[in-house]
Amino acid sequence: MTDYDQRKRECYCCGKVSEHWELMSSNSFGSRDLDQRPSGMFRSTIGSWLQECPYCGYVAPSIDKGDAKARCFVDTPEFRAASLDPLAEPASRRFLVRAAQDAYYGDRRSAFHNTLCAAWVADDRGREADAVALRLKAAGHLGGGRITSIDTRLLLLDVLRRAASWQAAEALAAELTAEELESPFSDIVAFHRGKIEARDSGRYKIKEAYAFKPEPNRSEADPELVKALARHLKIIKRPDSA
Amino acid sequence: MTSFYAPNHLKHIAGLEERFGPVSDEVAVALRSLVRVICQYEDPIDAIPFLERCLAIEEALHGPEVTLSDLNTWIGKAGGVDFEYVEPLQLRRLAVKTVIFGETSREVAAECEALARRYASNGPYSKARSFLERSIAIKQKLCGAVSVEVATAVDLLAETSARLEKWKDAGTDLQRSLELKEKVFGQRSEEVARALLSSAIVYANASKLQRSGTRARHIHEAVTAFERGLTLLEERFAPDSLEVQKALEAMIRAYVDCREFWKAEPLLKRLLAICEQAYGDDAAALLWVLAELAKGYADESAEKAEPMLERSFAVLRTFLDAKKPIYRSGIAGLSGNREVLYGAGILEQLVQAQETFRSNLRKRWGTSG
Repeated sequence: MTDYDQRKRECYCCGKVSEHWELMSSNSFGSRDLDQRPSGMFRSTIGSWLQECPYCGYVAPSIDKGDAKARCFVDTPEFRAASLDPLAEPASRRFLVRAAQDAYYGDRRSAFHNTLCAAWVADDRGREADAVALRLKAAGHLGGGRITSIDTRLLLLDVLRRAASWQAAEALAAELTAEELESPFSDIVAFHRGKIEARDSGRYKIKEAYAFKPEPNRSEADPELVKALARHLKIIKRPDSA
Repeated sequence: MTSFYAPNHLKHIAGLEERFGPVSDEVAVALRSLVRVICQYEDPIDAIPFLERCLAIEEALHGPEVTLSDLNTWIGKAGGVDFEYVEPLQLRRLAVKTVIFGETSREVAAECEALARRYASNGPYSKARSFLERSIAIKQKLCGAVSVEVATAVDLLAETSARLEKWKDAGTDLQRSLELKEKVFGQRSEEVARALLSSAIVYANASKLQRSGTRARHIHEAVTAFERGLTLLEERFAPDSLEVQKALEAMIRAYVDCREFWKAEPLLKRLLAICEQAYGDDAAALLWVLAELAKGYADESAEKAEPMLERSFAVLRTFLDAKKPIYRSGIAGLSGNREVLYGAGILEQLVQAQETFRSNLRKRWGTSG
């Protein structure tokens, strides 16, 4: 069961007090999505994952906590641009403000993740075009340097596929396949490859990836098998050559 | 008898006994000389029977006061001797000092503290405590109940109970010390700050192996005391001063030790920011902080585990680079060095954190994901 409580918090940046509904408990039974979005009741609590100070716009999981970087960021044009975005709805904007802060301080992975959360909000509202744009924006945060993390690349693979960025998704899937990853990562990549080939940008859960059995790849024949077949065909004489 | 010197000395002492009587100054002097020779060249334990004979003669002839010098000499030489051999003689010295100087004297208070220290190391704790209480009572009479001397003595009592993990007593003693220091030094003094920080560490340690309710209460007390203490230190020194860094480090170690990573995490992040500012982004001083964060995040399956591990290994790699290694002497000279590579097992910690992270990652993407 999901439970909220209203609490007063003193903003870490401006010191003013405001009230916020805070998540007290929830559950996330069931398989996660392939972009690690939780399932169960926790899935729909996304609006309470971040708080925003109504006075200065500071965004954090709990606005009474922060660090020196957070205080500095609220004075930047990047903060104002993200905070005053008229198009974004509140829950989405909070994630984007947070992502802007992460990006400002060079934390690409967190910027990617927070932008992906904004895309989840768009998914829930049925705003497909916004969700795709936000996924591409999330992927953009990971540009400008090689990503070695398997976790992040698996997330990115789903993000690219869901955004129908087929070429980039194919390239990443090929890169991951070439690395001969162990299970369970290899199973996830194989599932994505099938969906990318089918140009399927749908939402899937991790457990669905395990139910999937990839068909044998017919385009790349085993060279040893081909040679064996050729030898066999030479031995069998054609009926007309007799 | 294992003493090499004793047989010849005893022959000589037997002659003196015949000539001057067994209870005579001459016999006492000869016994004292034997005791000194044994203490100097052999095991002081072997001198105990001769010392006791010497003390008995001195006491019979001149009273207990004159035995103090011989007791001081033997106890002074018996530094490495087991306390079970020293204890009766040290108790005897206390009794002698009480006769000479009176119960309410600095000498008796100091002897009580010395005995308490030995009991604290060798047990029993109850005796250590009672001697410290006796010392405090004497100092209260000598210097007044609210005095630096009494505050110091109460601190020793608190330190002893904390060291012996008598958490309930330690909490009470620290509270007593805090109240005294507030009166003696002022409510916003450095001494009060340090007493609060000590209390916080004791509360955190006291939470170990407790039921969840009691544990939560102790942790809450620790957090409150630490925040108060740190605020005072920040007022007195700068927020990024060495004193603040040391306080953060001590509290972090206490939280980590009692498996309260999420209480340690904000302090680790703050210390990391201070160290980055002071020593640079890839300084040796950052390593233990990064490793603690990586280990904590990995244990808690937090998403920050991987970037923290990557950064920790990257910093560590700068010291282990085979092409350009930095050797022990080089590391010792680095700013913020804290035995990062050879002392604290950083590499082992990081490898363990990496294994935990990989295991969690497989679960995250596995069928249970």
